[in-house]
Amino acid sequence: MESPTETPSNPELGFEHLDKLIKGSDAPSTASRKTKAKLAWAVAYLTLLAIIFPAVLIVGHVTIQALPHFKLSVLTTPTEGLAGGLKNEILGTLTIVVGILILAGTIGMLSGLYLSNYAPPRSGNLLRSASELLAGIPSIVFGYVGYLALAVHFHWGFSLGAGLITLSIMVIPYIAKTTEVALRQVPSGYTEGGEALGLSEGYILRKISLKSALPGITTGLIVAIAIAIGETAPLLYTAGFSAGLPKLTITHSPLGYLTYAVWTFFNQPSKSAVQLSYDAAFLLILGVVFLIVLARVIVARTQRHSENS
Amino acid sequence: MWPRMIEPVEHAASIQSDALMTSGEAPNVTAVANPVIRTDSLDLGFGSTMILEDINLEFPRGSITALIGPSGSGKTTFLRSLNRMNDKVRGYKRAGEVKLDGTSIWDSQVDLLQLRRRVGMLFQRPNPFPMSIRENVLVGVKAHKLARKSDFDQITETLLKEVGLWKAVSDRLNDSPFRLSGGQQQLLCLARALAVRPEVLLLDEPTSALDPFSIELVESLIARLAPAVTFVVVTHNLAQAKRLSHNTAFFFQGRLMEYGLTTQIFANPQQPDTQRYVSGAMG
Repeated sequence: MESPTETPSNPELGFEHLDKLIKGSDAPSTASRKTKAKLAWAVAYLTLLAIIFPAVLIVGHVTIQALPHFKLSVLTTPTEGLAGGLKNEILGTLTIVVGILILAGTIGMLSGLYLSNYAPPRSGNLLRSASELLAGIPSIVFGYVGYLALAVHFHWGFSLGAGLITLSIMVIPYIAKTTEVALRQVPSGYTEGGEALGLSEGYILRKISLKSALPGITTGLIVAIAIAIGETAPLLYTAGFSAGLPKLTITHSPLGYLTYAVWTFFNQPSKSAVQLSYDAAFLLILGVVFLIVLARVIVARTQRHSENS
Repeated sequence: MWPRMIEPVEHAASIQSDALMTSGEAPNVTAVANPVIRTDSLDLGFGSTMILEDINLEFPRGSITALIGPSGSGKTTFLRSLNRMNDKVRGYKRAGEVKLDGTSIWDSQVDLLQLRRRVGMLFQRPNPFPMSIRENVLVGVKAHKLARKSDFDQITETLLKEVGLWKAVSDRLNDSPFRLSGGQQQLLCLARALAVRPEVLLLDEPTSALDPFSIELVESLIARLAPAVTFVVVTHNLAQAKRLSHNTAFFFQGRLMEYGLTTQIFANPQQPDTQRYVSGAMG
């Protein structure tokens, strides 16, 4: 039929013409490539330093300030005025953590699941935009809106309910986003393989997809909790403060939390107050480290059979 | 719409299943004795794009059928429609019928999960699940509640022996399947598919990601399982189609150009396009 090699009818389109256009000698020299590579590595190390340096500085400073005077009685004594311990704040923060996990965790993960697996394009985009908008609002605004809507308008007063709802609305976007991304990254081969076996949608989700997405979802939850326990402004407006132990009712239940101690006591003209402030910061950092380790353990335990292990 | 270049074969698979192995038999003898799957003027498409038109095919029970043709000829779309894997794809459109033992697979009485248990699928890339080797074999059995827990060990062993993996994995059943080689992973996926006792297995280029040795393993396994299970295999490997299948269907530009005994299709194709494709002059 045709000859195996094709000769172009127009010599202008042949290789000689291409040779005129593409000049091998104009390629960037090896030396300049190596310089660029060195530059790129330098930038990479600088970036690394920019992340590690502040982290070490903050953790180091707080630890040095807190450790010399840190007493275990801080954990078991409630705050009295500007002295005493942090028992009520610790229990308050733990209450908030559990509440956030239940409230924001459920809504956030279900939103992420909906966005990744079920949402039609239009409602998906609407929900995603709303979620991104929420994530961009300063926390003090959440606090003020939560205060006006829940504490004042609904007459809940400073309360656990108002604090939890306000914080939840703040962190749900993070949980939804990370859940969505994690579920989207589940290889389509898993889902298709499951469907081809006649497994139900729920079975595939529970036994295969969620397991594969777990590292991402866990990371999202950890970040959300870290944000929640690290926030001060929204809680000052909605949860108020109480030197008493947290009451587990939705309304009229002001409670203490560690960031309150950090923020309020640091500016007090009393040594014990400043010490309490450092103690609270130290405990918060310990809590975050614990969360990170916990997440690593959970991920390692469930990813024994994963593709990347 | 494409120009209708040549009339597609009307008779489709008109062969006795017991005559399948004999070569030299004329392809258009009588109606199939016991077709497990047949398609009646099946049209498939996505959105406004027509992928396949007027496909009439019968797959005899226990046979191995190769679907061949250039990329984009619609083979995979066709294959994935046989157990409704395309149903969820946005814009999927279909007309005509696919019948499994005489019942439309889209009949409202049909339980989709049961359909897929009966008509399973093996994919181009081995896709073991992120669970232990043992759990991979048992996942279908557990989900469909097909056996007692006390029999799980025996089921695992039998299936892994069936696919020839037992010796390689018997001491690491609780390990990750991703440490197995690609060929072993595909065999594991085959064991997983066989565990739910399918009547039909649809294979979408099942060996194109494997090395020659693994290909031989998978092929001999398919050949051995064939009387009990009906296989439909999409393949770009013409030698494989020739070696493995009883019947061959040639798809070209969205149409079924020719269907008959594999020996006939390769030795004596009736259509010029089939002739060009199987002789290697096309593609």
